[in-house]
Amino acid sequence: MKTKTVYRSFLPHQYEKEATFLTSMSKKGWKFIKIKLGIPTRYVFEKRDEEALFYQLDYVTKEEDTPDYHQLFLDAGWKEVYSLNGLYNGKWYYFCKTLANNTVEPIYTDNSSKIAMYKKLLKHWGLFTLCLIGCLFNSIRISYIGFIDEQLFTPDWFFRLSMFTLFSLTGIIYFYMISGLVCKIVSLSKNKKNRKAL
Amino acid sequence: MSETAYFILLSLQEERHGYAVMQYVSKITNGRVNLGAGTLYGTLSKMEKNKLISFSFESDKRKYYIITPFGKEILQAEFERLAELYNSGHDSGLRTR
Repeated sequence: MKTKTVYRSFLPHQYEKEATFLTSMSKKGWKFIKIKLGIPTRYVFEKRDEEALFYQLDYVTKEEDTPDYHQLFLDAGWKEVYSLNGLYNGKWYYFCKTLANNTVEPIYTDNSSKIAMYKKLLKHWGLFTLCLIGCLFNSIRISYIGFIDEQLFTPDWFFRLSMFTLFSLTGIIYFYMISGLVCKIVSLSKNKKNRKAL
Repeated sequence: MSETAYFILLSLQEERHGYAVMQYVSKITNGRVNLGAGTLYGTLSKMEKNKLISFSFESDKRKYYIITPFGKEILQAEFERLAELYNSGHDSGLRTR
């Protein structure tokens, strides 16, 4: 079977874009098989001559991950094709459905439930980020001190520089993701209010 | 109350499982309102937590729910609000097409 690997990274707040990416690959005849985590993440596809599939991602906490959750999606015609561990025992599920005459309903059909989904992501990744910032702040401080004191070119300057860059980049990525989640929630809530005002 | 919540409460006046709710809502709205599986699952959990509906039994991995007396009260209040909206429109000469 002909396979193809695509390098692509999506952060949790871009999960809808990720689903769109998988759907568009499927329209080109590439069926999603699996994900190999890394930087950047690798998506593995297989060449298939079958109907295009419409993909959707959902994130569930451990408490929500019950047999009836999976049965409901199955009943509604969704095929579970992949899963990925999230944080605090949460899980990402990748569902798909055949793209019958372009009229597949997404799994979230109203604003309130979309907001609830993004809030769930914010809770999990926000908590994680807070812990991380605590550790990062200290690491950045320590690695940075190396540049300002007179012992700038201590033998470990390269190590310190790499650590500083790495920690700062990690911090920036997390900040970007959290602000992305917050923006989504704010814009969805605004949307809801506008509709109420009408 | 959101449209989603109203239709879910309406359909849970009889004992139903998640997918049966989706089908029922689609049927009574002639296919206009199709609830997504994620939306339905989330709303059912939220309503159960808020005691609007209660879990009655599980069969073949499907959870069946039914409206609670409190849920009925809320549904009735919403129905009366909607009726008032409808009636005042009707009295002013508006007609459904």
